[in-house]
Amino acid sequence: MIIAIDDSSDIPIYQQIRNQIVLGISDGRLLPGEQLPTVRALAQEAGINSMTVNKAYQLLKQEGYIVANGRNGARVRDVFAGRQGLTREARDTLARVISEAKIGGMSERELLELCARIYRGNAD
Amino acid sequence: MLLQIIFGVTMYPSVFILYFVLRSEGKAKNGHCFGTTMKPEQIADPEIQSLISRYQKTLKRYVIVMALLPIETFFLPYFSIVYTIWMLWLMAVIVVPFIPYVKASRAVKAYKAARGWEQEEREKVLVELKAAGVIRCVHLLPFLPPIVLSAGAAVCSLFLPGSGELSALVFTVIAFAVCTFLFYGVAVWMDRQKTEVISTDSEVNLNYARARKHIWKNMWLVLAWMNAFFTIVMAIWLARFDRAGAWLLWGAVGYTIFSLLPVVAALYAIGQVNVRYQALREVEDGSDAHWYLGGLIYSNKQDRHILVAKRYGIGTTFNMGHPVGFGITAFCAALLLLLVPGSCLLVLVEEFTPVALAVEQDMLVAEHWKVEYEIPLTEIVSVELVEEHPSWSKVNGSGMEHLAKGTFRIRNEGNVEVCMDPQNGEFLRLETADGTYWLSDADDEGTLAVYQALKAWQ
Repeated sequence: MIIAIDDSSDIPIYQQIRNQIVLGISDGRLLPGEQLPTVRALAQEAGINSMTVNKAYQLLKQEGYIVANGRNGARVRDVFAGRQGLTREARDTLARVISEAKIGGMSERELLELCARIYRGNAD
Repeated sequence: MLLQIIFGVTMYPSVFILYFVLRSEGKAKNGHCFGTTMKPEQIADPEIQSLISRYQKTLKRYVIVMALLPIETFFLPYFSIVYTIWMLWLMAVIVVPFIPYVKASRAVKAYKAARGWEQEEREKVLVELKAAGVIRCVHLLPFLPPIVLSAGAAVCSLFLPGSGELSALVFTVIAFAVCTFLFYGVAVWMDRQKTEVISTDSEVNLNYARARKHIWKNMWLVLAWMNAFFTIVMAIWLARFDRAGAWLLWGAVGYTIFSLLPVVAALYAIGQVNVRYQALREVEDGSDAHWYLGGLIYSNKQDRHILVAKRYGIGTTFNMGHPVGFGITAFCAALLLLLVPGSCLLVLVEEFTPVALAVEQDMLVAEHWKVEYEIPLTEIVSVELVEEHPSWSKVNGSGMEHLAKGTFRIRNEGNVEVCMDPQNGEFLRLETADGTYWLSDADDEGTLAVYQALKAWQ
């Protein structure tokens, strides 16, 4: 799985890593129980600070996407059944995106179709 | 003539190696033309093709001129002049053939911009998550035997009889032993470099990285064993033979040539891997904006990697945007620019500064730049004026057309101390309590005057 880090983006790098790992889990590029690289290894590979990767991992653990795996770093959580929908932050983000779509002239049907495509892993 | 042959064998091929490398890099492939990303249809453009053709012709002209330049050294007698010409020629060979490449690269970029072929530059750094910390081909165990053998040879050389007299050779043995360990260090360093992302398929990226790292590991392992073997041979030679210096020189020439073989083999194998993965290459890591001078120099302040895979061609290059990468490159360049002309200047001054011999306050003083030997007249057992010096080999010091200085070894006689101009017709051979000296003044009149002064004193 490839992570693209954009230094010029307004989104902090730790958030970019977090977002792309979540995306990888959702579209099956990262399988349940799959081992993730250690903080140090990923930081070295990406050429970024270990603290940044650690922050992304902490966030993912906090949100329940990954679990600690001792000295080996972390792995993707096996079961996500316990999760109940979206977090408050995610709902706020979704509300903002829907508002933007509405102002941009998108119909509810078009928006739902787009959501369905993204949900199925085909955003294009 | 021996010197010219050694320089010719070790340095002359570099101009042709560089020619073939640059000729190959001038052929547009892998979606690049002179280090600039281009689509196949853009490369097929008549103007770009004409530019490539012009580059190939110019490169050939540059290389022919460079190849002709050092030939005159075969007719020059002076070590220092021959050395200076070859060293300056080598520096020119490293730089000059890149001039047409850089010019062609600029022309391609300008044409690309003029035709509106500039693509949206992507500033994202791609990271293969599944490769992070996983692909490790270099392990200590296979490197341990050559490291231990080299260290053993270095330690043994310290305790060899006569190692005190041959300290320069012992130092060389130790330096080579350290190189074996350094090869392991470099292998580990290269093994931990970022995995190049060439595809959206992780398996392709992982296999590509594994193949390349495996080749580099094998190359460093072979070099470590070769280095260990040469270190041991040097230590044995040091212990058993008189003409250690001369054999060491020939050994070094042979070693240089043989050590190129695994490097060439590795570069060829990497090239083959690149060809095999060419069809699978769909992602370009990094943008044109970070690559300067035809994709040769990489500078990205956001990238914390010191070493990155070359965008075009084979091997790795320093990230000039990283302080360490810039520092290492600047240091090496400064070292090269200081050491090479500096060493030429030193050798020239060494050869063309005349030796001096004089009797001063009951001391015989031999000078060349500085006082080389001060021999109290009371310690001189015998002095002879001779017209020919014996055949000898240099142990350490300088052996040039107009200068023999340092410790020399005469077969069946042992080491002697020398400070003279071998082109003179008169020399002094002195026996002292400390050993034998061969000395001369700048000219025969001076030597004769010193001889008469010594005889008068006796």
